[in-house]
Amino acid sequence: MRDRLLAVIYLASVLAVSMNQDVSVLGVFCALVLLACGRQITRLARRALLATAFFTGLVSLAWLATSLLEGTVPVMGLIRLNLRVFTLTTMTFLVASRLDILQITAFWPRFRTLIVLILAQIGVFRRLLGNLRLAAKSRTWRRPALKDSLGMGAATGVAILRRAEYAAEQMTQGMISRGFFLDPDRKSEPRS
Amino acid sequence: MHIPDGFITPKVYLPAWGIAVLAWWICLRRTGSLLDPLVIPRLAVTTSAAFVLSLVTIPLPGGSSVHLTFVGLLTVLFGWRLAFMALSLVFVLQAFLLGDGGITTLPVNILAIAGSGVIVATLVFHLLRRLHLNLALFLAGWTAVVIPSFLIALILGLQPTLAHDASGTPLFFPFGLRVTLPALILPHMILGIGEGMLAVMGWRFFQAGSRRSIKGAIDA
Repeated sequence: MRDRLLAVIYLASVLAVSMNQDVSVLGVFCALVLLACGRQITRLARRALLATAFFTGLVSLAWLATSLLEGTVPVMGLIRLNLRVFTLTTMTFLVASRLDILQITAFWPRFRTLIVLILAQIGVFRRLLGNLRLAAKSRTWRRPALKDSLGMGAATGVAILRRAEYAAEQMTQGMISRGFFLDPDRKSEPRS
Repeated sequence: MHIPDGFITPKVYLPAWGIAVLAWWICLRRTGSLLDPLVIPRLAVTTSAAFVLSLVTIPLPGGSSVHLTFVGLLTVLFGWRLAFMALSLVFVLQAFLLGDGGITTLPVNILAIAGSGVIVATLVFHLLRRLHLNLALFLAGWTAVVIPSFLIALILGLQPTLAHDASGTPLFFPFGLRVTLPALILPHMILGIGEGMLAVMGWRFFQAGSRRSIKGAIDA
């Protein structure tokens, strides 16, 4: 019930933020979202800034540059765009930190199984990716050239594919040996 | 290639949500019977790998960067329905965990990147696989990136026309098609080479692995 209510409030807020074009109202929304973050305010705001800074910054700078060439400065447009992107992203992170994806997908056990496996494997792959990045960094004393970056990217891809192939094989054997697919509860799942 | 939150007008994302829900319903109707014991773990690890490898950005000359999407590989390995559902899940996780994409742009990203990507990859793969398997795999991967990039460029480029104030100032994404088409399509034509190679390589990897898994399951 709490999760559903939170989801409804979130969706209504998203609609309100994206439909509103008044900068002052967007500012109030942004302040409310930051207040709702509570103790997580610094962490969530920082995450939102880091997640959106590259694309929004690039678009904002390009917009400013092209407008300056035409002799105008779209101050309100820039503030509106950045405020909206930041508010929506912070709101998404806030809701994501409070919603349980496994509760939401409880209606379909097999899909939930898939999500559990995916989330578990993401952890494994992210650690592997982090290790490979550190290894690549330790081998280079300056920023790698494009050719080297591409080579490292390809090597990372191959390593992750190898690991994925191995993990899939192990997981299949493990699930079959534990009788996972013989579970009688799973017979009631939707099938066409 | 993801469009971040806040760049798309509700005139576009609200109908897109409707179409996306319809697409999920169509896929979910058959997905249950497609998720057999050998497919679930393989789909899970490939989806996780897609999620993680999308974090590896490849720098391009000119300061921009692109990342792999796995659309072609997932489509040729699992078929369009499972690939669409898996990629949808990747986009949801990317939006909620990383802020890559977002709730308003989620259906647009899913339909343009995953939806059009899996359709194009399926068509190309099935049309060409009897002619030359590797070529079919490569082109499935390549087109599964280039066609979605065209659609994303189209959607972004139409925003200033669809949503602007009385003075003509764009309310959402500020650049038109003249900017978005070359800015998105050209880098993705290069990325498509990587995606094409990934589709060929991934197919070989997973086909060999699948044969081993099936043989192992039978032996066990």
